[in-house]
Amino acid sequence: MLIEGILSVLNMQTLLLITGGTLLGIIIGAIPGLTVTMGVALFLPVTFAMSPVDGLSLLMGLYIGGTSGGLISAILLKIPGTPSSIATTFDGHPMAAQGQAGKALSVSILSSFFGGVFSLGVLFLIAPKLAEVALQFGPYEYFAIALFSLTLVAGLSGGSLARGLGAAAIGLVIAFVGMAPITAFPRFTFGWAELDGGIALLPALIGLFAVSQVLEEAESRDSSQAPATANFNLRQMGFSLRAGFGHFGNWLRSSVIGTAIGILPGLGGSVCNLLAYGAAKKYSKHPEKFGTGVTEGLVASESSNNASTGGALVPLMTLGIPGDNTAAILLAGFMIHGITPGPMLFETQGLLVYGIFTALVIANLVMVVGLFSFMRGFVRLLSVPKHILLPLIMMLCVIGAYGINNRLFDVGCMLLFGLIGWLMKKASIPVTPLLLGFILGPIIEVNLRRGLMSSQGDLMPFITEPISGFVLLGTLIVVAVTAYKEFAKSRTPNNRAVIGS
Amino acid sequence: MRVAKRLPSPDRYTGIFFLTISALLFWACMNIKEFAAIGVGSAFVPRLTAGLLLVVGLALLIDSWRQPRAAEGETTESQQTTSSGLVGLPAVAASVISMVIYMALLDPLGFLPASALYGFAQMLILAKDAKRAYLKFALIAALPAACFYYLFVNLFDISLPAGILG
Repeated sequence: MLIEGILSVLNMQTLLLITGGTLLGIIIGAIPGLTVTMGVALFLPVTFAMSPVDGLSLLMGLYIGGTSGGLISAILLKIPGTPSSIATTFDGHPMAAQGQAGKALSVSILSSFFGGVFSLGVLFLIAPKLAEVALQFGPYEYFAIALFSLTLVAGLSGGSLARGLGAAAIGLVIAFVGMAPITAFPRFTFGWAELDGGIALLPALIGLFAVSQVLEEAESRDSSQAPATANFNLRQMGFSLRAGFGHFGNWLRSSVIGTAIGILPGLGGSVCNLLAYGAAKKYSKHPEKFGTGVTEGLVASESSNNASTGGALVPLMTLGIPGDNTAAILLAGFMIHGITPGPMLFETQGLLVYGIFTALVIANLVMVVGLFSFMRGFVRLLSVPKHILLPLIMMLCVIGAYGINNRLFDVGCMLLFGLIGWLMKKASIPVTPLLLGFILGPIIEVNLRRGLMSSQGDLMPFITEPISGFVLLGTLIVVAVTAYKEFAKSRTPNNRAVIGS
Repeated sequence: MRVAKRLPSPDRYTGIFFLTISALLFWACMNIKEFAAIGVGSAFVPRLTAGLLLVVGLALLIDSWRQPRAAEGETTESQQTTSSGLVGLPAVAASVISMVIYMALLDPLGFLPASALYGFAQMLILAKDAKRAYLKFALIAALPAACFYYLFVNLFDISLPAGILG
């Protein structure tokens, strides 16, 4: 199975798709304002007519390239191309300003590669074992895990538990539209035949992440200005092997942090790069130099954010539960080809699973070679103004939304979700819980109802079954701790002083 | 003693929004027919969700009364974002209108002409301070639209409205 899976990717067409996807991903990740999530969503329609291995290989290339591309603008422009590269700006830009842009880029590229490969190793070792365990799961366990993931995302992604839970609930409401699970009775369709099948995931994703971005850029004052790419020294990209080995401990620690955070729902690359940077600073012999242009900071940030990619795929491929936005879009990539990720994936689609693992390894290799070979070209692309770029992205959005069912209704849904996404950003309501609510809603509802049917309406098995009970307890703890932290924060002396004045 | 005029907290609007959705969901649940003999019916989880929205909405409303409301003249971080955001509101409205027109023209005109028109209009909206090079914008809008059409229809087997060119 393993050999067959590897061979399924080793043909010219698939290799070209992985290479193209990775290079496009780098470009998308490098341009501030375009995210890896948006990139993967935009290219989903391209995979419609492809075989599952080809389509998912392309998406994996985009995922790896997009996560890595952010380092270019983080180092050269001091603007993180993606939230995963925030900590890269701390030392990357000072190094570039000191004439060491080439060294900063090469350290970051290699750190990204090693972080990515480490997490793939973990994915390769853990995922099949976890899938075996997950095969024993019934409705109680699935309900508990899906509820836990949704609560964790709601609590952690917005800075406010109430807003996060509210957004998750709105996501659930959107998921209710269409045929009800089990009874297949239409709900909330208000007589619209188009709504009988529910709201399609792809137009909603494209709207939330791509159309809302176009509206946001329309609103901002400076979308017409191309970023100023300073003429940095990109020649000296080498560094000694000894210096490389000196970072082994830092790389390993940061990769472990990235992979572990990636596995947990709700956090992902945007958090782990800051955590790994903080840990590297804490254990450094000279923490005072962090922020002035030291390679340790770059190693920590870049190895951790790429390590989160393999981590995020663990719950997606073993349980069918996406932990973040990009994983949710990858889930849609599976579903387009009629494949439902979960423990059975390893039993029924072993060839595809090992094909994806191979595609991820190749994408990491292409990322390194591509970044070293075409760095000047990528830097030049940063100067394409957004007023040119965004309308073209919007055309791709329309193709994606229309292409799924060949109906204008989906294009309308996409526009509506774009508007919703933009309004949510204005109101500081996080989008991720809404998306996770939309995706996890059916899992939660189906398993709750199935569980209640098998227990003759008794809720107790949800608590008394060991795994389900343990995970539900974890859910309660997450809610209680997050609520307590917010309460304590609202009663800090600063807040009281303002209240008293 | 100076009495500052107070501005309502943004949490209040979010709370009211969640409460409204909760009320609408409770109302919509009344039309769901229940078939379940064992366990729960199709309206159970939507009702739970409406309950969650009710709790969250009330929590936000209570919090908006508890937290210090920004006095006029003082600006909080979120309000700074809002006030600077309002500057581009006409551009957002123009973009939304152009997107809706784009959608309406897709079937009668076809993907290629509708996309070229939309691309040109959206570039003009987004260009703002940049020089509006009309011919350049028209070309940049039309050429990628043609490339996308060819690529997706012929290479990726995706059907797109052909319209007047069909």
